[in-house]
Amino acid sequence: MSSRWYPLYQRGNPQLRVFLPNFWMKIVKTPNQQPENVVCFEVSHQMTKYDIRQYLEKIYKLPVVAVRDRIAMGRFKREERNGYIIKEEDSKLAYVTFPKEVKFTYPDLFPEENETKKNLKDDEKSLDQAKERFREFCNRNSKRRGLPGWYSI
Amino acid sequence: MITRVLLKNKNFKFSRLFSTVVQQEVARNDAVEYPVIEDLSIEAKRLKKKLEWREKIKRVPTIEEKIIELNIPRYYGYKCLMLENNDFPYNSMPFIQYVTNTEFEQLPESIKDEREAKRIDGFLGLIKSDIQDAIEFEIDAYKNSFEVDGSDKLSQEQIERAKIGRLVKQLHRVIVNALGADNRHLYESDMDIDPRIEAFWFVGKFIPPLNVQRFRKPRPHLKDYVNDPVDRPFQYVGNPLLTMRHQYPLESFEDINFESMIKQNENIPMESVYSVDPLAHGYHTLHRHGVSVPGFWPGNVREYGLLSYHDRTHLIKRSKVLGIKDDIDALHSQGILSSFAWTYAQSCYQGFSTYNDMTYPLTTQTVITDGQHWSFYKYQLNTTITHTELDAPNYKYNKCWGTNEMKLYEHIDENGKIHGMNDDVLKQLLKLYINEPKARNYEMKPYLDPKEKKIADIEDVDRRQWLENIYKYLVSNRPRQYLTPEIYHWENIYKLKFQTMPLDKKLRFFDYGINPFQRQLNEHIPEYIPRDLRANGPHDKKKRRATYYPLDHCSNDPRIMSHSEYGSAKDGIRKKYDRFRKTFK
Repeated sequence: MSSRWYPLYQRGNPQLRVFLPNFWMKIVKTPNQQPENVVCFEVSHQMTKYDIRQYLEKIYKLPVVAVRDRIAMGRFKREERNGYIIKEEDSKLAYVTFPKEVKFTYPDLFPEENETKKNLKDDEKSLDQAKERFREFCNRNSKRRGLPGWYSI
Repeated sequence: MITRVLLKNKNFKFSRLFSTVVQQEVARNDAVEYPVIEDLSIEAKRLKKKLEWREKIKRVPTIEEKIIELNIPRYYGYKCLMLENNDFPYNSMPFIQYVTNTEFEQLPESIKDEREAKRIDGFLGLIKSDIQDAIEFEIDAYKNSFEVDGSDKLSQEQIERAKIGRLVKQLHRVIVNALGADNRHLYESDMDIDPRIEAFWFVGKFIPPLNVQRFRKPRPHLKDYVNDPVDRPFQYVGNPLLTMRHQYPLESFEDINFESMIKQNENIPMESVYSVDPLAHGYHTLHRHGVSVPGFWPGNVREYGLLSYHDRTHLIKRSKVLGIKDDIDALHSQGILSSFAWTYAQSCYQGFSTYNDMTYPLTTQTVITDGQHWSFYKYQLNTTITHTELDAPNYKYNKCWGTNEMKLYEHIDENGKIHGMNDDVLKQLLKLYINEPKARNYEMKPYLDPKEKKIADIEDVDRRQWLENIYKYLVSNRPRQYLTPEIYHWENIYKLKFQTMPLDKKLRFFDYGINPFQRQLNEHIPEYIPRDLRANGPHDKKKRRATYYPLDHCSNDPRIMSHSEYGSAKDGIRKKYDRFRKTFK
C-alpha cells in the first residue's frame, strides 16, 4: 500500500507510476441473479476495467474473460436528528466473467443451524409465550369493567 | 313462441304479466343446459385473458393489422431486448439457442451425396476461373476512395463490410449467370442488396426483473407470484449483404415427427441455467415498437427466402481473450440468430406470429463470410413459439445445421494472383444455389383472411389509408412527437422516495399513481376534422375521425377513448387527474 494519491491520468510520457497503489476489491452479492460464471466485486473508485483485470490475473492468477463495471448510486436516507435528506457514497461495481466451466456460488456466511442462533430463537419463543400468557391474564375480566385480572375463579 | 317474438323486439320491456309464459317454456325442456363453471382464481383469469388475446391475434385479418395488434399494449413501445449482429458476448451460443428454440448440428465440410457432388463439379468447372477473377479483382485490385485515403470517417468494420459487399455481389452475379440456364429458379428470384431485416418475438420463462418483483411484492393478490416467470420481448435488427427470394419456399430439410414427442429436446439449453435476466449476459434494452420486416413489404410475390449473405465484421473488434473457440461459437450464434430472424419475419407475412404457431416448416440458407473465411448454415423453422406456451406444452423446436469456418484461399500474392483455392468451399456455395424451391400443395396462409390478406386489399378507403399510416408509423420507429414522460431526479428524491413537499400542487402523472408506460397504443384522442372538411358541412357535430384498430370495425360498440385513462389506475384518481390534465407536462 502506498500513501500517495493515485494520479489522475495525463496524456504524454513518462507516466507517473505508483508502486502498490491503494486498490482493493471485495466480493459482494448482487440483488439480481447472475450467470454462474460471473462474480460481482465492489472495487475502489480509481480502478479501471484494465486495473480490475490485472488485479485478478497478476495477484490471484485468475483466468478473467471479460470485465464490465458501473458506478452504483448510494442510498438516500433521512438525517436522523434534523430530518433532511442525505446520500451515502457511490460505489463502483465490477462484474467479472470467468470461463464458462467456472461455477461460483456466494458463500453462506451466516448458516441457519448455528448454536447461538438456535439458543436465541428458543429464548425468544419462551418470551413470546410469557407475553401471550400475561396478555390473557390482563384481559381475563375485560368484560367486567373495573375488576383486576386476579379477581376471578 | 310468443316470447321469442317479443324477445326479438328490442323495444319490448319485460312485465310481470309474462312471467308465467317463460316458466312454462323452461319446464317443457327436459335437458337443461347449464353454463360452464369457470375457475375464478387469479391464475385462471390471467390465463384466460392471455389466451383470448392470442386468439384475437389469430382472428385479425391482415398481416399489418396482426403486427399492429401485437403492439397495442404499449403506446411508447415495448422495452425490447435488442439482438443485433454486431455484438455477441462471451458464451452467447446457449443463450441464442434458448431464445430461438433451436437445436444445432454440425455439418461435414465436404458434400456426401455422390450424385449431387458430380453435378456440382460440372458447374464448378464452368465458373471457377470467373470466380477466381472476381475475388482477385474485388479483394486486391479494386479500391474505394475511402480505402485509399485511410479516411477517419469510416470505421474498420464499415470499410471491411463495403469490401465484402462488393465481392458478394460479384460472386452472386457470376453464379446466377452461369447456373441460371440449368436452374430456372435463379432467374425467377429477386435479389435484395443491404435489405432491412427485423424480427420481434416473445421468449418465455425468464426470471422476473427486479422492478417486476418490486411491483409484485407489496400487492396482496400478487404476493404469492413474486417469482413467477415472465415473457420478455426481443427485437432483432440486422442487415445482410445480399438476400435472394423466390415465389415458392425451399423444401424442408428434415421431417421431424413432433406428434410422438413426449418431452422437451434436451439439446436445447434449458431455462434453469439461461433464464437469468439477459442484461446480465451483456445485452441491452430499448423502448421500441415490435416490428417484423423480412426485407420487403407485405404483398410482394416473392416472399420466401432462399439464401442470405452476412458479414462477420463483429469479429474484428471482439476481444482476443475470449479465444478462437468462442469466436466459432459466436459465428454459430450469428448463423442461428440471423436465419431464425429472417424465416420468422417471413412466417409473420404468412399470418403466423409469436403466439400463433406455424402449421408447416419454412427453411432458409445462410452464408457468413469475410471473403477468405466462409461458413454455411441451413435453417428450418418448425415453430414460432419460444417457451411462451400456456395451456399445452410445446415440444416443437427449430433446427440449424452449420459448418465450421472454411478457408476459400490461402493468400493473394503481390502480383494479385490467388493461391491455394479450396474447391470444397465453392462446392458448398453452389449447393445452396442449386437447391430448388417448390410449390406446396397446402394452404400457406391459414390465419389470413382470404379476401384481405394485406392492407392494400381492403376496399374501404378510409380504413385502408388509416391502417397504412399507422403501420408505416410503427415500422418507421420514429419517436413520438411529444417527449416521453420522465421523472426528474429531484422529483424522485424529494417527492417519491421522501415526501418532503406535501403541500405542492399535484400536477404530474406520478402524483396520481399513473404509469405512462402502461398506456396503450389506442389510448389517444382521434384525429380532429377541421370544420371545412366535415362530411355534412361546417356545423356537423362529428368532429373526430374514426379509428380502425384491429377488429374494432367488426364489433358494434364504438371504442370509448378518454384522455384521462392513459395508463391510469382504475379508480377515482382518474377524474382528479383529468381536471388537471391541461397543465400536465
